[in-house]
Amino acid sequence: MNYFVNVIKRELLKIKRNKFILFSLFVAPVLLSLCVVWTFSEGILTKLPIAVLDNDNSDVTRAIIRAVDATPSVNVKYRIENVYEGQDLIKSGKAYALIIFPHNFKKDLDRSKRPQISYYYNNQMIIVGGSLTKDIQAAIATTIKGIDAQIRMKQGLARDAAISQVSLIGVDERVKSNPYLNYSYFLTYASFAHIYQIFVTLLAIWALGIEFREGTTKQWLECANNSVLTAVFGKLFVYGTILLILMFLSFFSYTILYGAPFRGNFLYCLFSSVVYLFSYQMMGLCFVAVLSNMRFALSCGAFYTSLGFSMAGMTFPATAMPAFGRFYSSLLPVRPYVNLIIDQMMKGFAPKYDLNYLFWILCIGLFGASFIPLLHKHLQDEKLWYQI
Amino acid sequence: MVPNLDNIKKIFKKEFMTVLTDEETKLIMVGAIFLYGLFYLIPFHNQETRNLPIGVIDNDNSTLSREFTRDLNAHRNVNVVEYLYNIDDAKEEFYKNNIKGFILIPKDFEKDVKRGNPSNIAAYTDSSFLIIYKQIASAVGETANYFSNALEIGTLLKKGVNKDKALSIVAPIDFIQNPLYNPIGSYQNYIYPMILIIVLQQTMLIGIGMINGLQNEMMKGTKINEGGKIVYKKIDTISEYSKNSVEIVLGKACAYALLYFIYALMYFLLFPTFGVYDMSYNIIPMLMLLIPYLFACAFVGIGLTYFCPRREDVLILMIPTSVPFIFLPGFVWAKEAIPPLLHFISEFVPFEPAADGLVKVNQMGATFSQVLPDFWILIGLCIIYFLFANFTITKINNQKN
Repeated sequence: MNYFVNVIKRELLKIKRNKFILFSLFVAPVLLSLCVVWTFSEGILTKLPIAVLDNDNSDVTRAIIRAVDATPSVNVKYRIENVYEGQDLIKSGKAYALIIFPHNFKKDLDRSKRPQISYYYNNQMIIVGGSLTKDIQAAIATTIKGIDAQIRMKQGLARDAAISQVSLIGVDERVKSNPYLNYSYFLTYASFAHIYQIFVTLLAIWALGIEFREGTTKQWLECANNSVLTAVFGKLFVYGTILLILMFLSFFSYTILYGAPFRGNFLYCLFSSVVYLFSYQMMGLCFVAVLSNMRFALSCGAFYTSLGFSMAGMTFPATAMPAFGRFYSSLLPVRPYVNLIIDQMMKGFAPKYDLNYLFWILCIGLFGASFIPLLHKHLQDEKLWYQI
Repeated sequence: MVPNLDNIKKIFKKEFMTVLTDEETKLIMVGAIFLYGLFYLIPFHNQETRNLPIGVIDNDNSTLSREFTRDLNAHRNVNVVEYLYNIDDAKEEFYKNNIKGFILIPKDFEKDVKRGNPSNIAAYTDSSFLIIYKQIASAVGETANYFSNALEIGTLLKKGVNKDKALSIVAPIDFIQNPLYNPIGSYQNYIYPMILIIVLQQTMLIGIGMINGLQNEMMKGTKINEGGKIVYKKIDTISEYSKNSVEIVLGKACAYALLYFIYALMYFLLFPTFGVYDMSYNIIPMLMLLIPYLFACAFVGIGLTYFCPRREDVLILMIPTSVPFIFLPGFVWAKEAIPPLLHFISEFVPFEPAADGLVKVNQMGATFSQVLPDFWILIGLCIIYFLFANFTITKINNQKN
């Protein structure tokens, strides 16, 4: 135990002397987490500017435009005179969509001629375009249904019958786990997991690799009474504990300050996070053990973790990826961890349903840990010192 | 003092060779460019999310409800994999991640619909992951709408109403959706171009940081393992050709920018030619944004050595920043929803104005005048970071004196 404490003390001194590492360990993860929270602080996309070209300018088109404008996500900011104006607004990013009402819209509607509403939207921004389209379509459909029901009532149908005929089969959406469709919760939780996996891996590689770079591997082992386990875990304990505390502070301050959901089991989340950080530290160890060169190991660790956000299915579901993508993502603890955290935080699943994820993360960690004997062997080899 | 062109040329050549000969730098500034370009193709290759597994609780078990289930199953977004008896069973399957959502068809569904009474299908969807939610919700909504319309048209036809009239009664307007620039909603066309732009910045900053970090370490004196032999290296000046910081900065920056210009042409012209993603080939505006972008990155890379004095530091700093950076140009999250102060701060990261401008030019076919604000921001960043790079080089050169 004394030797374990010795290693911890030695590491704390090393961190204290290196301002950059001090910053990377204590400040940078918090700053980046805050940056993500700040980015999504609005929560739901509101008042997105769109343009309207109303060639009819009738009471019906004006009613539809008012209904569209009343939708929380939409702001009918531009009333334009021609299509080119609309094209310019969309291309320069000032408007996300354009609605065009043709001449004689009302007349055609009255004559049952099915007038067209042309709706153009910027689908280069899939998430923004998608959510706008859904809301605008719903607003137009509701207004038209109202107008249609009025027409049918004029034709002599009773009020209820008139309404029911325009919506014979309805869909009653019972949204589980995120009733306000706040995408920012998912992105924020996933980003926290991603940011901390990078820091924990790179700092583990730095901490282990710097002994090779500075030619101090033997001194480090001596400090741990030549026990490689004491040397490794004493060192990584420092970084793991600090990052675990910061990661949990990020998660909980987010749930408290922004009212993000937390419906799961606290201890289970904590335990999973310990296993998560441990697994990444072990993968970092694996790179150092194999390469025995801090800079090379850092580059490999950077490549391994930086692909995490996309590969783990945070922007695009992992299950929809080609086989190689699914295989690569299965090597990253961030994929099962994000699933587990979302299940716990947002969906409130019982822990038993997420045991497979925990086991998966642990397996990756144990794979990394199996390289400890190789690291031990390389620590004795002075030829591996001072590599740049 | 007027910078000497000959000195700039010599520094340029030396720096260019350093990038191509230093093993570690080569890994980042050459290898990573190709690796990231290829690896990021994998996750979005299938472009769309289809066949999401869902369950059905059919409390009516009628011809009509079975027909509805068949129609839903035929929708490309979903795949009905479970027929369940009650909500508890469905929840259990949902918890086990066997299904992503389920629908409940109420009892007397057929009876109600045939009598002309509205009937609601309950759709239970998991919305924590919005892409999955959107796909399931639109499948159920579209099927219900289609089914409803088909039934009503059928009834009207039976009553002797002609087809056009029936259609105009059921759907009084024709709402035509025209998705612009990315018609099929491909994720590859959406995320990949932005990733390529950020890869250029991040790898350049890391590579430059490695080169300059090592030079900085050698200014102080450091032991280096050269093929098993330990040697002590110490240099007196960052460049053997000049002590003028302007010459050093320009020589170095031109070397990095030229190399990355070649990569950018490969990313933005060659890749789309081979059908990797869609491109509008708006070449002049693209070059007008690309050149200041690459120089801004080169200058900021040199300047960063001030904060990241050792070879490895910049890698630890830059890798985690990619994710917050990618959210900020307004393609993942609308600009209007990003706090104005954060948006202002983000404009100091060259990637932000560059991504905004380049995606508009390359993917949306914008003209130069439509991205003029981005161009001016990049020019401004070039000036600011040129001064910053000069400050850093002067500081490194003077530290031993």
